[in-house]
Amino acid sequence: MKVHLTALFVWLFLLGTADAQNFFGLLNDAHHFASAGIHAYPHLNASIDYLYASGHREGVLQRFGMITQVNFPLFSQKGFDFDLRVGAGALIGISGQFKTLTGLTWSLSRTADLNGRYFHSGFKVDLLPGYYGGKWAIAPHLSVNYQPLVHIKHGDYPKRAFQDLYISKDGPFTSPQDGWYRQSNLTLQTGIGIAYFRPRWNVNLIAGFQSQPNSIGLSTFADIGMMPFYSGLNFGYAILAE
Amino acid sequence: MKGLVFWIFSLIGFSSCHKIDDLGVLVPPTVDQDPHLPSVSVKVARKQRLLHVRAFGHPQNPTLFVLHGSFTDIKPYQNLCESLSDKYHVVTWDQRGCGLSERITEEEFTLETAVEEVEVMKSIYSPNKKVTLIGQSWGGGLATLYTSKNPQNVEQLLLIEPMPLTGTDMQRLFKTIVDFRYDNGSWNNLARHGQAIGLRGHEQIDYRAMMMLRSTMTAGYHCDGNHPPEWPVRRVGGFVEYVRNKRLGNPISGFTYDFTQGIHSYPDTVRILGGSCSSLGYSMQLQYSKAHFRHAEVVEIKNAGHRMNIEKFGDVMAAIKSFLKAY
Repeated sequence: MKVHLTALFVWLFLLGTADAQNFFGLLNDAHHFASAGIHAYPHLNASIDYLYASGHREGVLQRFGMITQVNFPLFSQKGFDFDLRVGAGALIGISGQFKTLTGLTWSLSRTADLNGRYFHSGFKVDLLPGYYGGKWAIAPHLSVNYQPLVHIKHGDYPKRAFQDLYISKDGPFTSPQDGWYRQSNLTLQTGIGIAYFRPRWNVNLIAGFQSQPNSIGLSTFADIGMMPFYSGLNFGYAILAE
Repeated sequence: MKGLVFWIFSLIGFSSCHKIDDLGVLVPPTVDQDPHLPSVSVKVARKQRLLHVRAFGHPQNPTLFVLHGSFTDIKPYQNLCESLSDKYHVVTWDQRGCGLSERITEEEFTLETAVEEVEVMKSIYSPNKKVTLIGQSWGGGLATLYTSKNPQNVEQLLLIEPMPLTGTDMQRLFKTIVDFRYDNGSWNNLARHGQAIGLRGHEQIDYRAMMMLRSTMTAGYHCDGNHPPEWPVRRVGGFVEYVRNKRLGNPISGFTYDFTQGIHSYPDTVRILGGSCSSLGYSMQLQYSKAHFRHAEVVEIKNAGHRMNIEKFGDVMAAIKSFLKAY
């Protein structure tokens, strides 16, 4: 495949990504809802969600739910990742069929690759204010993902980078450092969510662009004329009879 | 009360963690951050920057520059430099923004300033005499570009699998160099890495970019694309790689560079080494690169890919020494 090489470099080296939760089960009437999805963030993931929801689609706080999600990578050169998310979401009525889906989730993730293994944790806020009809919903998607804490266990590869660093064999830096670290891993997403739902199931698509503030003055949109994308296709079904 | 104590301790615990961009957490510091490293100060693109430099052999010997490729620094060339130090004063450095050299801004890197950097280094290490140039991959392209602009300054020119020397050549060969697929495991690992470690600064970018050296996305470079040979770097310059590619162009709107304009005024024979396995190897160099020079010879290194100076060190050194005048 021919690729815009500069865009590929931006994706590979200059951007963070963030997983997305499936709160669209709040549009259904069931209490127990399971869903599965495939995602490109733009790396490829699969996810399984469980949502417990209550309430009716009336008033202001129409539906409220607790969600658990597990993410798995679909392709990996090395290592096995998982991403566990728990949180709460709500369907809030604003005016008639203008409503908003909101969600707040906390994540605990293990990511592994050629450089090492990472445990990281953070939270994500999702907001989908828009049209929520009887069968269809369409809404802009805005989210903020913040991962302030990461534990790093370096593999052999980055350790070898420190070998023979000094001609005199004597210097202060001899190995990369393992441990817990603070960071500013902030990812912003803006896109659109579309859902078709029936009483016991729904299918939804969410897609958009994402960016991560950096300290090197790179403006992704201006540089490559586009921004890295995220997308997800989910199918949800009420798993227990009401 | 218990809740308050919990939150106070949590806050203390969080704030006592070190920051991920502290020196030496992910990658070795650069020369401007660690004075124990050997450096030279140069003024290029109107900016004073420190370069990580290593010199081998007696300064009275003829000067030979080794120019490294992309996604690397000078470490994988150390054996080569040491091997030539009996007859040459071998000087090699991490190019601006690469390896352990000081990081630069986007504006500071153009093909013109890359040539300026070589010229500044010549003015320091061989101000009155010609230099011999050995360049690999991108370094081969840079050595060609420098020679085309300053043929009078170059004693001998030897290229180890230079990148395609013109944008036209690159356009034809691009598919054999980068084969991008969404289901590639390396690509997915590299992209997913951003979930764990944010990419706010050079440390994080370089740490992630280093994985590219073990990627299977450029399998065509190697004899066994699924198991690329080790390439022992200290640190790569991820941001400069991005800027350099931006300067060179892309396969959709076109590659715009030409390293060979004026190279015909260089009168001497150029030797090009090409591996038998690499997509930038013997066949490609024979078909594309050789024709750009007035006199050139292409030497095949058997059972070797793009990293031939690591894979087949003895064969590569024999091919280099049989060309260099000092031997």
